[in-house]
Amino acid sequence: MKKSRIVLLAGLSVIVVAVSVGLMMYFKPHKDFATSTPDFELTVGELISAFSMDEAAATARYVVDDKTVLVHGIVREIDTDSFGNAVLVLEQDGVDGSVSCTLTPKESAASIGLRPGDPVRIQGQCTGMQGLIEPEVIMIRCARARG
Amino acid sequence: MKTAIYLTLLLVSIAAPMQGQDKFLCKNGHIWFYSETPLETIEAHNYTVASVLTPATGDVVFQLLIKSFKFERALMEEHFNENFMESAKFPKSDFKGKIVNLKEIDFSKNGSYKAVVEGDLTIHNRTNRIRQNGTIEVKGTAILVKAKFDIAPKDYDIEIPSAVRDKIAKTVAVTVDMTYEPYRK
Repeated sequence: MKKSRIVLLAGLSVIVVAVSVGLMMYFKPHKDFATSTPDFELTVGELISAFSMDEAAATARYVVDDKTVLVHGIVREIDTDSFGNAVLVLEQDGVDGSVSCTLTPKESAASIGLRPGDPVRIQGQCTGMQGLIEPEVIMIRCARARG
Repeated sequence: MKTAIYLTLLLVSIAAPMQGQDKFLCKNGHIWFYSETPLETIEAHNYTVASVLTPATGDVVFQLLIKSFKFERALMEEHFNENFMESAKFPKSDFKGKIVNLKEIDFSKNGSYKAVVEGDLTIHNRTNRIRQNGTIEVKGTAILVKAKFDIAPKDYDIEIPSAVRDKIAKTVAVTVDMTYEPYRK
């Protein structure tokens, strides 16, 4: 009787733990790229040339495993996507291409003061490079870097 | 001689603005998909789709990054990238095609037109010829393109593990919403 109770209790605890782990995984939050410590810090030119030279290697380094990338550049233009988020297009003197950074809703409101020509440091999630018109590295879930 | 120069200048001044409007560009296009089964509703949005539309020829090109699709749940986003789309190996998806009923669309006149587009859609490194309907709206200097169609993951060699098969619909509804502006550079 006692032994079967222990087995039952043990079985129940395993189920409770398994269900909690499952639920925690199912509901786990997205990584906060806006506040996490950057894994890489580089200029617009360095980021573009990494993808232009070897896209597979750059994808493995900057995109896979949700790395936080911090990029330095000059604001070329400020767009808005159809969701209403601000998109900062960053460039660098003498570099062909741009880095397009979509800000989080909270950061979009905070970016109102920015103007083309302003130097900025933006951190976020790098999702790769597109190249229909010019080399364009894409970053989403972005924020202005603190500190 | 003078007349020739004036004539050349006149021709250049007429041709230049037209040339500048050759291509129309959309940099922050929105493509999203929706899958619904009794067990789970899945929705993901990509707001960084790039596309070029050339009204004179009807050529249209789309490019997007798989990693730019945002899901409500982090776990779904992880599964989508790692198990289904293998985005580390195949980071991009693109479409290259043509508007086949170009004659029925007047890009110089405001209005909404039905468009039929045919071309090659590449997802997960697999290319299929597709033909879809959409609408093209000419609105001042902008061109708005909207389309809605279904995609079957199996057509693109996307394997859904049996553990989650009941949670993902056999066909996924894809919605395209793009706003193009004249390309100037």
